[in-house]
Amino acid sequence: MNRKASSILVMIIEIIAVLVVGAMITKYAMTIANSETVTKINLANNLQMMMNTLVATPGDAVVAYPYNVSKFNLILSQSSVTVTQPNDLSVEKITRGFNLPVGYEALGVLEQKESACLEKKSTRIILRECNADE
Amino acid sequence: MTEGMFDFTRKSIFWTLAGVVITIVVFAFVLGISGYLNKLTSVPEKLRAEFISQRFANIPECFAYQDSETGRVYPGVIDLSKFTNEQMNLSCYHTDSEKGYEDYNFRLKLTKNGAEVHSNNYFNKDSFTLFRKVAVKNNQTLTEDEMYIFVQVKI
Repeated sequence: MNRKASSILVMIIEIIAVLVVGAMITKYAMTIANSETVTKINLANNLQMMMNTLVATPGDAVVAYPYNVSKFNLILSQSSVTVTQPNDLSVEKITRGFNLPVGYEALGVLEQKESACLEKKSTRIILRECNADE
Repeated sequence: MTEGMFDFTRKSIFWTLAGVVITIVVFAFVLGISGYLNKLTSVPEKLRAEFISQRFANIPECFAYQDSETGRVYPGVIDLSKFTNEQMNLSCYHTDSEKGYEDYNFRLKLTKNGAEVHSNNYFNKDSFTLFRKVAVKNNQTLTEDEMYIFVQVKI
């Protein structure tokens, strides 16, 4: 092969390599941009803080999450709140923990409902769908 | 032939260096995006500690005074008879016995009264301090006081 042909071939390979790397980086960035991971993490963090606030409120109270949560499933248990999407793998579930005082109970599951409310009745905290007037 | 070998060597060195540089650039990009995601989702430690520590002076399961006859809770009023480590750890705020040092732990101190309580995995490694004005009920007397909340974030 003469020198000119081989240098053109090398240049083509270099251009292809740059395009492949650029495409990989762009695909990675678009995957991150289109995923709901950030929203799930923020939702779990907010619910965790809402739980701590409700615990610190004497008596009965209701607090509504101010955004639409219809894309997510929410699970409230005795020591944590978990946010997932349908068909999520276990590593994609976002969980945040909290410590309840003795005698307190926390429970509730919400599957793709538009609104989420945390209601405290005495020492019981329930995750449920909000009523029309809440 | 010598020129051909020189060319080959030159290109080998070039592609080796180019491969290293491209790898570094890709890693830096991925780390940059991960850092940005962490920035979008981080919650300041002080904010989280504020939310947890609200309970200490506000609910009867912690240290808030509750009238035994009416059942009314007085948020912001500390019942000195309840201000003990037992009340903290058995009723108010308890971290896991084995890994609780990874969670928030607290030491509460009433500055004028001098009384002090702490949670079960508190080891005097304070990250920051919160401050709250409270009233203290001791038998029938009610006095103003200040509560310092020393926060240990993680060991």
